[in-house]
Amino acid sequence: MKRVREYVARWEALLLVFLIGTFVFGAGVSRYFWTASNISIATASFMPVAIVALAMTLIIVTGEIDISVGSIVGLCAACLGVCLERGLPIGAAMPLSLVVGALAGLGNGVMVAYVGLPSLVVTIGTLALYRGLAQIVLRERGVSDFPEWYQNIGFGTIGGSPVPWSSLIFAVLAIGFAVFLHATRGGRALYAIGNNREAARFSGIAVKRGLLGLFVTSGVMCSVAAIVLTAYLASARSDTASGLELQVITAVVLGGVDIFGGSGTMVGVVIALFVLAFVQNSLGLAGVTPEAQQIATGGVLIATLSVFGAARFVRAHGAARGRFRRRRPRALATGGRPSGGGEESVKAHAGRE
Amino acid sequence: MSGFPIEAMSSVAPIVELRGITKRFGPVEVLTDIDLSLRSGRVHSLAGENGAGKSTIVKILGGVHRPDDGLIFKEGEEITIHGAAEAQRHGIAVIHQHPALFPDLSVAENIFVGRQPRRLGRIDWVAMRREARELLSGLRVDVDVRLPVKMLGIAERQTVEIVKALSLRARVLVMDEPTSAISREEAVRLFEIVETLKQQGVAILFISHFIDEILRLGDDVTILRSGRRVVTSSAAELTLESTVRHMVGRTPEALFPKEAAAIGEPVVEVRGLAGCGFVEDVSFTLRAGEIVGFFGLVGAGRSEVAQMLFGIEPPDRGEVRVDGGRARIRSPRDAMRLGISLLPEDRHQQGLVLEFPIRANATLPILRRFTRWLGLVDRTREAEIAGDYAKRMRVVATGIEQLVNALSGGNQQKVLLAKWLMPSPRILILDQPTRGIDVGAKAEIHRIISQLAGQGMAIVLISDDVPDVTAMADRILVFRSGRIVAEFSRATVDRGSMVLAASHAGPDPVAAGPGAGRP
Amino acid sequence: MITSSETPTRSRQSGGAWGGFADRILRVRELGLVVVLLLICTIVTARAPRFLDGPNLEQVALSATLVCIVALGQALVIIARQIDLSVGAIVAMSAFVTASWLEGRPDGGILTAFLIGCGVGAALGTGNALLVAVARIPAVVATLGTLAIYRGAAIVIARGRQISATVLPESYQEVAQLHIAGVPLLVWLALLLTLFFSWMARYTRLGRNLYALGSSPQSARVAGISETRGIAFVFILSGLLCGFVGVLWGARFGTVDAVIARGLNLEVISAVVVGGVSIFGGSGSVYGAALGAVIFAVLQNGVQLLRINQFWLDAVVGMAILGTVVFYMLLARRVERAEREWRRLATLGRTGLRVAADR
Repeated sequence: MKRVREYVARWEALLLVFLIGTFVFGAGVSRYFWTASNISIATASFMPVAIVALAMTLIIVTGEIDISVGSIVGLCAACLGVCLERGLPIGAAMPLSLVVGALAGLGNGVMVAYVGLPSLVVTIGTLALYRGLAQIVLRERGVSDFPEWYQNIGFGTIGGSPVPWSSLIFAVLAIGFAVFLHATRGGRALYAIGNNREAARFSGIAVKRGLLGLFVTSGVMCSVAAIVLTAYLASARSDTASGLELQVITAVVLGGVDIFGGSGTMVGVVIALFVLAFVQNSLGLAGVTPEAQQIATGGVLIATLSVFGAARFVRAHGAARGRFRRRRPRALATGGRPSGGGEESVKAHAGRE
Repeated sequence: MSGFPIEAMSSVAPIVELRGITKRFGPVEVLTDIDLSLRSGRVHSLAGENGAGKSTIVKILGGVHRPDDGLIFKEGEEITIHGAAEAQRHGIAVIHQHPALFPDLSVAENIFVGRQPRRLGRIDWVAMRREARELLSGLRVDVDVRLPVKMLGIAERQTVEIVKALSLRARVLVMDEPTSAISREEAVRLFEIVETLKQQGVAILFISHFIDEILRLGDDVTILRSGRRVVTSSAAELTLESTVRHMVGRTPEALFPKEAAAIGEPVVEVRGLAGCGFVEDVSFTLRAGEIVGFFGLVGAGRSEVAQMLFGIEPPDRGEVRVDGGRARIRSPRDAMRLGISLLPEDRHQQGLVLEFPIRANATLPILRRFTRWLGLVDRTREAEIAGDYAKRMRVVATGIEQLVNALSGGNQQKVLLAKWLMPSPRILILDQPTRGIDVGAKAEIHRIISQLAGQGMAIVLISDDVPDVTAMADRILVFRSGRIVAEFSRATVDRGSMVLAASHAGPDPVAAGPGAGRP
Repeated sequence: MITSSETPTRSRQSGGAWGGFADRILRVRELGLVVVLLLICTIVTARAPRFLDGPNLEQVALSATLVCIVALGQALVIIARQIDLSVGAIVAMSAFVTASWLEGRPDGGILTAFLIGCGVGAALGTGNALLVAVARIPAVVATLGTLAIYRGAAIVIARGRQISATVLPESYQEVAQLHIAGVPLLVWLALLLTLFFSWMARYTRLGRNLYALGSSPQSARVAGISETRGIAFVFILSGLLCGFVGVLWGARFGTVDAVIARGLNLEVISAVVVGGVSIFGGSGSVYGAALGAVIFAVLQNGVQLLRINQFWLDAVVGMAILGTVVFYMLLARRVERAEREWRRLATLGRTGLRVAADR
């Protein structure tokens, strides 16, 4: 995995270059870009996407997908709104929304893991269903009388610093997800499932339970995102976060996670999130409307997928050519060091399916 | 052992003839100087153990592989076969064990896909169905041509494939082990179809593991061993016994015979195990320090029994006792808790995560042991132990961080073995542990298995390789059609009768056709 | 070898009966849809007799029309085991481009307008085709991306503008008002297209190749059917039909802006799925998808007439997709299992007899 990590590290380094490029671009667009308040706003506005992207990374690593995330966020937001309307204290509404998110994820998970339907089909269905439920409970109303302290979750900054509270939530979650994915047994199991589901089952990994847990986690993260988003917007509507899935999936794919599952790192996704956040921010500063910004997002998604697709093609054909060279590098594990040709041969075969 | 002169067999000129075909994969020669003629209206059977080169011949005829040496003739003219399309143009069709059809399309459409009969620019469904029906009834097959293929059994799908080949004017049919995935009853039906095909003047190359089928169906029989033609003869001149003798050959030196080990108390007792659709009434006892060989053909139920014991497929009936206590095994985790390890049959699909390094593959089942609070993996200890096992298995690699897809088959198998020894099992099930690996690695794996038995581990060794099983096993259970049909001990084992038990249905009424009646 | 002539005849009768049954089950997809449609109509009429009024029926038919035409393309896409999430955006783009061309051209040629709209649709469809068929990006993600790009582009071009009926030529709006034999032209068009594509899917090799591709891409490769060409074809066709619908959209509603046809994606997918096209590809019919579109239009109208909460509609769409997929999956599993079991027993019996005769 070391060599794979080296390979991925190159992609992450490239992402850092992109990030710097974005900063340069932003600074060129507006003098306002490099101010603390702008950076703070750019970060805060992107946190809902970022929080959902954490769980989406895990789902895509296992080779599944969840397109219903935007609708789950909308449903949780609607739930918060209705609770507020009915006079429920927001402190009680928040856990309730977490439960709703978990149940929505459970619905997806059961259909995928236990009924055996493809996650794509299931979540297209629930994309409509959960949004529909949000519309049923909240109709066309907007709820906006959130208390001050609650709004601070999304918009307020910590003390006098320009660091938004929401970014603190994200940081804690991101570290947790990164540690889970890269340093724990569970994370290892996810990669195993993404690469070879049957071998994972034969190794005693409970694949179905894992997938179920993953979709529930995704639901819960959507609900956290709903809290942050309603706080940021200071309003909850049934169409909150519609189209969120595009930004989330774009970030995950840009972060270097293979859309077919099995590889990718959390660090890449986090950098990609910031790239996207500041691209959108600088476009906004340049006067590009949010609706038009989605061209950029869609373009990034397509471009990234095309690049990875081309890389896969090249590697596959490289592997075919290198097949007969494979046996040459040989060194004993018992004390031997990697011999010269090893790396080349590994690279040639890393792309084989 | 001398072959019979080919000329004596038939006066009919062959449609397709192979002369002096040799094929190498890297340094390994898998076929050496093969001659084979396929004549109109005759069935040529091909027999041989696993790895004898049967499937390579199929692939050469189907245009998948090109021979390194030798010539292919079609009606006296030299031809080359590059790719499936060219094979089709030469009138050669391969009927695979699991035909590549379109499950949602109807039988008629599967036969005519891409060349449906048209009338006035539109597909003429009535004519297509009629032609399909005619083709099928030409073989005396009764299938509703409007039925989607996904509703057919494997035997019927093979029939559809045959009819498709005929409609493409195939004159040579290569049937690659068509009977190993279907029931005896369906096989009898298939033989009737073959009989009809013969009458229509088709030349057939028939490949099977079942010796009675080889003799019963074939007009001519060629027996291969280790890529060489041992004998070509008319079927009438062969008996079951002589065929087996030709296939098995002289007893080679055992690669690494099992060392004597003290056999202890029963560890696993299986009574009346049934499941997976066809496994019935399997009972056996496994003792500490004992190696029990499961011998049988692919699809005989050996692997299914192993997977039931390991909790992959829960059994329908039957009792499993481990150390005298009744065991409920419903998941691999349950099995591992009881000290059972299963080295699965398919290294790439079931065994290894090819994109993982040696370390992560080896520790996958026991990662739990290296985890501290919050499930964090102790990488240092993981690497230490993985390295330790890799060393003990003598894995040849650049280090434990090398990806397993860059390893040779033998080394991958050693990693797999390390993976399943790490849980320190008391019961080890090895499903084809030496398939497709080189001789050196094979000897190493045998050495390790022998050592493990010496340490008191109870081992099940599943294999269809005769010398493997006879060299390693203390007892051999022979499987056929989901049942145990014979048992041999190390002292009494006779390789011929072992092969016979696995591949011959015996006095079973259905199989007792004219061929089996031959002395 | 013994061959018996009487056994096959016997089993053909029984096999035929069962085959017929299985056949019916499969055909029930479309038949069942008609039943469902009539049922919904009856319920709606019973509670709101206004449903059967001429003008109301015409409204239903018109709204079914647009969804139906897009669903024809989507049906072929799904039959070929792909999916197109960008249809709504293509409709919007085509509608806006066409309307802005017609704007201020009171005598503008309607034919040119249709050419422009279809051209825009086909071009955008080609974009999808390149990504999925050539670059081999999974269709969901690829069209999710193009959905954003196309919709964004429409918004950028429109700059928040709305083109209203007052600036569009009358001849354009007449397209939606025209009646032939008392039935709106649009409905005739949809009917014609449905017939044509149903015919194409069933009676041309091209159509059958799409089914083959969707049923088993591996087998299609062996059979020499080009995956690239098939996939490219369905996406370009889907784009073309969306472009066509874009032109009709402007004619029907009079006002066009960049955010029209927002919910069209899911409506179309659920019409196709409810219409019996397998989401796993390879089976289903184009006219089934059209029926699905009609069912949705009736449902939508019924919801309005019965004054049921409008906001239920999205949830119903979602439930319809999930429910149908699960239902068909379970049904298919059951039928297949029963059929296989029966055939196994039949073979057993037949050979048993033959072997007995043998002795």
